Amino acid sequence: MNKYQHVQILLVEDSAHDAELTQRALKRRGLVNDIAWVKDGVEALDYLFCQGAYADRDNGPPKLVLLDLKMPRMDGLQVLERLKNSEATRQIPVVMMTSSREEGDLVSSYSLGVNSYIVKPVDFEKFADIVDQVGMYWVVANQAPT
Amino acid sequence: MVLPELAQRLYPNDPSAVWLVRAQPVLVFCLALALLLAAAFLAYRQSLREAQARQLVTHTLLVQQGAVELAADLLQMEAEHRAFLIRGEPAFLAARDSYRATALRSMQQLRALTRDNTEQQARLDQIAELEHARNTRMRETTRLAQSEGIEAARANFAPVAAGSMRPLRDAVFALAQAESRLLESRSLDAAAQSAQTRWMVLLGPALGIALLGVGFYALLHQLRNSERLGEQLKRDIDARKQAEAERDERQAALEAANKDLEAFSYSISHDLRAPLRHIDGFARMLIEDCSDSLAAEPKRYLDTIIASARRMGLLIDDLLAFSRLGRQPLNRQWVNMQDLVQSAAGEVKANNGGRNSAAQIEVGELPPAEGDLSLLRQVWTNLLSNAIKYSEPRGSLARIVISGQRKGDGLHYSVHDNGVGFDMRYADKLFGVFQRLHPQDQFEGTGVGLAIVQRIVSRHGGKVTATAEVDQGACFSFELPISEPTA
Repeated sequence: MNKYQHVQILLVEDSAHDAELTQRALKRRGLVNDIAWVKDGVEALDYLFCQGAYADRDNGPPKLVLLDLKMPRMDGLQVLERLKNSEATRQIPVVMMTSSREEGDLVSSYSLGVNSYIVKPVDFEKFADIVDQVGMYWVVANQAPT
Repeated sequence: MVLPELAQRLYPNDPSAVWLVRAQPVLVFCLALALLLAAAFLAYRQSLREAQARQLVTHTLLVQQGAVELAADLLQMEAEHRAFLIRGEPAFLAARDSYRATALRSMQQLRALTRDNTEQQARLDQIAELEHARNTRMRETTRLAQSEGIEAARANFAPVAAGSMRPLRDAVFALAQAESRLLESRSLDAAAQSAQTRWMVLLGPALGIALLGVGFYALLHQLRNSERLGEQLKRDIDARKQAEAERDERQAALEAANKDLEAFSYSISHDLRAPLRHIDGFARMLIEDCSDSLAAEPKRYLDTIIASARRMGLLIDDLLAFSRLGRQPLNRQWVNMQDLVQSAAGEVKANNGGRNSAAQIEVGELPPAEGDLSLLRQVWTNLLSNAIKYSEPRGSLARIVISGQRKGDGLHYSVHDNGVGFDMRYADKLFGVFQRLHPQDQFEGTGVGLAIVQRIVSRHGGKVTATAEVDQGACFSFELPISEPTA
């Protein structure tokens, strides 16, 4: 099977635990097979621009990018900037998913054009809930240009 | 002008001293001017006196000269007469008469000159008398000579001649002598006046030098005062500069500390939450996946783990909110407390643990206050949610009454409830961070709500108080200072 088939959600998250929890939450809606996970910003850009290790990716852009803020090498805001400033990737919905509720981060993200900003709750139930909602909304309900 | 400021600095509570200092130069100048004018006037008057004295001396000399001339003329008259008597030629008579005329003129002049001297006038009268007698005698002699011949005239004249001339001569000499004596005394007087004039003339410049000296001393004094003032000002400036520098330092230190706190709380808000999330999540996953194979106890353990993680999350959130309160700037504005409380009450009732509270909330008339709208809202929210929470056991009988009034120079607001109250013995713990008077399983909460209330109120310059009785409800009130409305 083509390893790039059916990728609807790109999860950009440096913490393996958080990635696992997110995928667990998305599992409830059966979206787990549609998730690609990259561990930092550099890899995320490689994936989205089909370069580097992902030079041979050919399954088109994901329907949603779940982006963490604090990551090594390149952080979420830098990734966001690159995505929103590039013709090829501008239209992909990006949802910031982070622990930080700092006003500064919110302002920066929105001024760079983030589609939504979610604060990860500590409570897993709530976390699962929100991931659920976000996933369903952007992947299923939201209409995107083809 | 340096002087008035100097005086104001040296004698700050004495306005008359300041005026004096201001007027001083003018006063001193006027005084000096007056003194110098007086000295000049005195010198002038003295020199006039001296001139007068000299005048008198000259006058006396003239009189003296007049007397001498008179004597000479009279003697010459005598000589001519005698010559006539000797030679019998009428030419001598003409000469004699001309000398007489001169003598009479001299006498008139002398009269005029000695007008003010009664003694001399008396002498002149005597001289005139004697002269007149003498003249009569000479005329007689002349007549005799013309009528009876020169021998008869000679005989007539000879016995009286010596007699009648001498008194006249003596009288004239007496006049001259008197005038001499007068001359002596007047000369002395003139000399004395002259000496005095010399002193007077020195007086002016001496006074001038003295005043100059005084002025110079005063100038030095003022200069020294100015120096002192300058030094004082410099010291003040230095002190102020130092104070400013210290303030800037403190400000910088505060800002640095604030920045550290920001970074700290950022770290808390982000980095501490992630592991908590994992604990909660994986514990939950464990329960979900192994619920069939887990006994009750292990499940309870896992529940405990989850609950603890969640509680830690709450504590972190509350602590963060509390710390931020101290650093947030206060946006002062006029706040309609009535509307604010109504709004907060509605919100709290609706949010009460996900279910609508049955409590009845009465909002009385509340005076408006000046303060930060969002922070005051927080105060009401916390107080109201506490009131509702601790009135839960009363169910629909729970009553919360909110009132407010203006007392003196403060605005008092109170929240009364008929809930479970608390033991007043532990009242001082109420407002501590994370301090609670009820166990967690009875009433949930982290114990930071009241600490937040107290912090906000004290930042507004007010204070919070609480009274209660166990099971009889509680009253939480806070006071805000009244300030004049700022536009």
